[in-house]
Amino acid sequence: MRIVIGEDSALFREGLARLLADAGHEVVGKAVDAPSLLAVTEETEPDLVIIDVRMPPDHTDDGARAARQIRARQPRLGIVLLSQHIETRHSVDLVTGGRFGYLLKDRVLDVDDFLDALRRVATGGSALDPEVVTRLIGHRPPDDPLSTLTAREREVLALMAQGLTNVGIARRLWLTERTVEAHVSSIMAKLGLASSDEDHRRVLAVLVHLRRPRHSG
Amino acid sequence: MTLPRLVAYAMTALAVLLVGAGSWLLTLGGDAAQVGYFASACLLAAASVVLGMLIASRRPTNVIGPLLTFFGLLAIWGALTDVYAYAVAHHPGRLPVSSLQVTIGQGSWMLNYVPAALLMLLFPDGRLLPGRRWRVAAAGLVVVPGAFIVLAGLDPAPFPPPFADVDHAFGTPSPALARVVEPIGIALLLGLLALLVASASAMVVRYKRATDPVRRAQVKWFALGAFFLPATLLLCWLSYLLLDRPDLALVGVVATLIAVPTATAIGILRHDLYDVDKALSATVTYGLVTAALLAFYTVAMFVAGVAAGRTSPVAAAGATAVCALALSPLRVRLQQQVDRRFYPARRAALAAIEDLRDRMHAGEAAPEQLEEALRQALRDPEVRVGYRMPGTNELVTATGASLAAAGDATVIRLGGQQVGVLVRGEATTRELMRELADACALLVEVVRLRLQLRRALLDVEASRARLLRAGYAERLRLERDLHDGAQQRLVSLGMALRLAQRRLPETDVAGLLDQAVAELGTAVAELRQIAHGLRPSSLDEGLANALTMLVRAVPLSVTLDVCPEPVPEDLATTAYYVASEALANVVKHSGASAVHLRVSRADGDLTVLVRDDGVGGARARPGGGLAGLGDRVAAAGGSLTVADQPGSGTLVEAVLPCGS
Repeated sequence: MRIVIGEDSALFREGLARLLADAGHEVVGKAVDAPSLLAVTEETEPDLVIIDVRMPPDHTDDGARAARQIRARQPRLGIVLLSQHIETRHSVDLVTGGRFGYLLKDRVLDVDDFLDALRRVATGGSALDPEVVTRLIGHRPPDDPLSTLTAREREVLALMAQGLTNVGIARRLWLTERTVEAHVSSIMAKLGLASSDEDHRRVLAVLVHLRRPRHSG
Repeated sequence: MTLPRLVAYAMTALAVLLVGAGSWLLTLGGDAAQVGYFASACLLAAASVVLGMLIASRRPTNVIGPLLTFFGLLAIWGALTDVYAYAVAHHPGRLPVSSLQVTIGQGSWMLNYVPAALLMLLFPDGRLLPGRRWRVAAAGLVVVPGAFIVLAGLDPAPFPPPFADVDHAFGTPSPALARVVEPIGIALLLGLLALLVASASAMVVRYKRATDPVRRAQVKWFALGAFFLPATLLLCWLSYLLLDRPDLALVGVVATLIAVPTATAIGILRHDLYDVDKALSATVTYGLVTAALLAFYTVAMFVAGVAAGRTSPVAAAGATAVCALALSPLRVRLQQQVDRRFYPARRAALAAIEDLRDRMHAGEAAPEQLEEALRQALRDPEVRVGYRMPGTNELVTATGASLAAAGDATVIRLGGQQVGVLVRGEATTRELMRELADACALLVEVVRLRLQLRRALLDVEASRARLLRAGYAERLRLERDLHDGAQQRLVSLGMALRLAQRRLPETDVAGLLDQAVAELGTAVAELRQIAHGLRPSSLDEGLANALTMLVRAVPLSVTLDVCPEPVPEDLATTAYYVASEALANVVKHSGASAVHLRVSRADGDLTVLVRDDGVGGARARPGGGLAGLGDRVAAAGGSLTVADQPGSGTLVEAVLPCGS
């Protein structure tokens, strides 16, 4: 994959670049702030951009704003946002659009999962940090449909929400693909969601369900 | 040099000459009584002459100065003529005798009233009141005494000793003329009386027409001096009553000679130096008391005399006892009545202070209302009360605003310490201010201590709010440092280890590296928790977002209702901590199944409300979470309420001022 990195910390930027090169990817551009990131991305037309949420010039959510701009200009381009802390509002919004990932920075240490997430995003899928998913599933009142799920089904749901495919889930949980498929259709039925073969649509449906207000009162 | 001043100086020179002449006459051989009489008369008259000259030098165009000098000059002239008559009597033939001087001298006593009456007409600006009758009165005061002196000289009777055989300078009138001399003389006397009344009425008219408080004060000062003229008549009556001689009237004459020039000079030059109302009130009171006393005494003597004989000592003793009994309560009553009439400002101001003190005790008024009370009582909107802040020289108003150092301020003291000042307006005198300063010292001390306390509290509140803000800023800085510094560095280190691991074959070292990276991951996650505890990064996206995130982490069903408007950073942080601490309490202690969290904004306040359906019993304990929360909310200028209804849950409500 041809990748552009937007990250102001040199240490992290170069480390990530070496990690990616080591894994056989080509880092075609590096940017230290939001404006230059936009320019480099436009110029190099990569397959994927990895962006730090907090970067110059404002050191607030410049990276997230740049991501929206890139999405508007190059809709086919995969984008992965990296953050130092959990933030659910923007991340879920962006991820439900597809071709998008939102991960904590320290996920790069689980190199294989991280590279897998990059690959999914570049090929049209999504990646949502497990921590965010945990928050989304959170604590539910007893009458919530989620509470009818079995423990295993919850695990599968979490991985679905993270953007994993059936194959990925099966590998992660040491299950067969068929078992995963069975769990998935059970979950979709319990939550009242339409089944779909397309992984991305499934993720979308799950996330939309999870983001619904938890209490009608 | 102006004419009035020139005349005043000339008359002063003349007065010196007259004193010199008198002294020379006394060297011819006068006894000690004559010397004493002349010296006292000159000394008393000197007061008028000197003060008249002083006025003439300060107010060169005002005729009041020369008039006062004239007043003194006439007194010296009168004493000189007495000394001259004595010298002529004791050294016959040694001194020249002018028949003209003796003839004129017969009626010249009437001249003594002229300067006083003219002063009444002309005081204080030296000009007559507009209108023809005042000009007629002034002219009359020159014409009538002149005519009277001529008429008195025409009296065919021999002159009194030692001038019994001196010729009449104007000759002896024909029998036809002699018949009308006496009726005309009586008519002239009545004319003088009418002129005196008219002059006195000029004073009243001036007082009534004056709107300017300064002019009124001046007229009052003069009236104080002029009061001694009728007072002298009163003493005359007393003297004849008690002694059958007019000697006591001498006291009145002396008092008049001092009071008229003094009051005139003060009125013209320093009317604000003393309190004229107080002096006037006291003088009138004592005058009235004396008159009443005399009336009592007269009646008592008459009644006792009828019973015990005309000159009985029993009658005198009884009359005196009646008077003594009547005197004391009479004076107090009279003083109150006179105060009400002549000195309303003092009475009203003292009553206002008293009233304010009473209402303060009853909790109906604040001592800070002192200035307003004084202004109303004195009808003087310029009166100000300044409070001296303890430990400084700063003067402030009751609201704590700085009071510009006023030049004409009366110091208020309590226990020898200066606690404030009274600043007078045009309408109030220094003397009254001094009296009021004593009366209101305690009130001023109370206000001043309250001001000090209020200031100290404000300081404490401000510093507490600053500490809170500084704390938040520090937390924000630490959070950023952790994220951008340590956390980032650890992740980078982890990546380097991963790279190393990938370069190594499957060995023990690779396993060790894997373990090390896992440890690093845990360290990073812990750092993230610490940073979150310092200050939730979710606040960057606004209070509503942060609370949404917070609620997601609570293992209970929480309904969230947050107003969408943006809230200032510090306020949002405080509100977040309130919600966070209250929710933590609910989770730990309440056993509740549902929680309601509402953040609303109204009337410049942000209200954070957390209500659960648990067992209740929550209260703020020292050192506990809720107590800490109370401090935090108070530091932000707000208030925290923990309402606890056993069985129906707990309600925690923080009201925070938005400052907008």
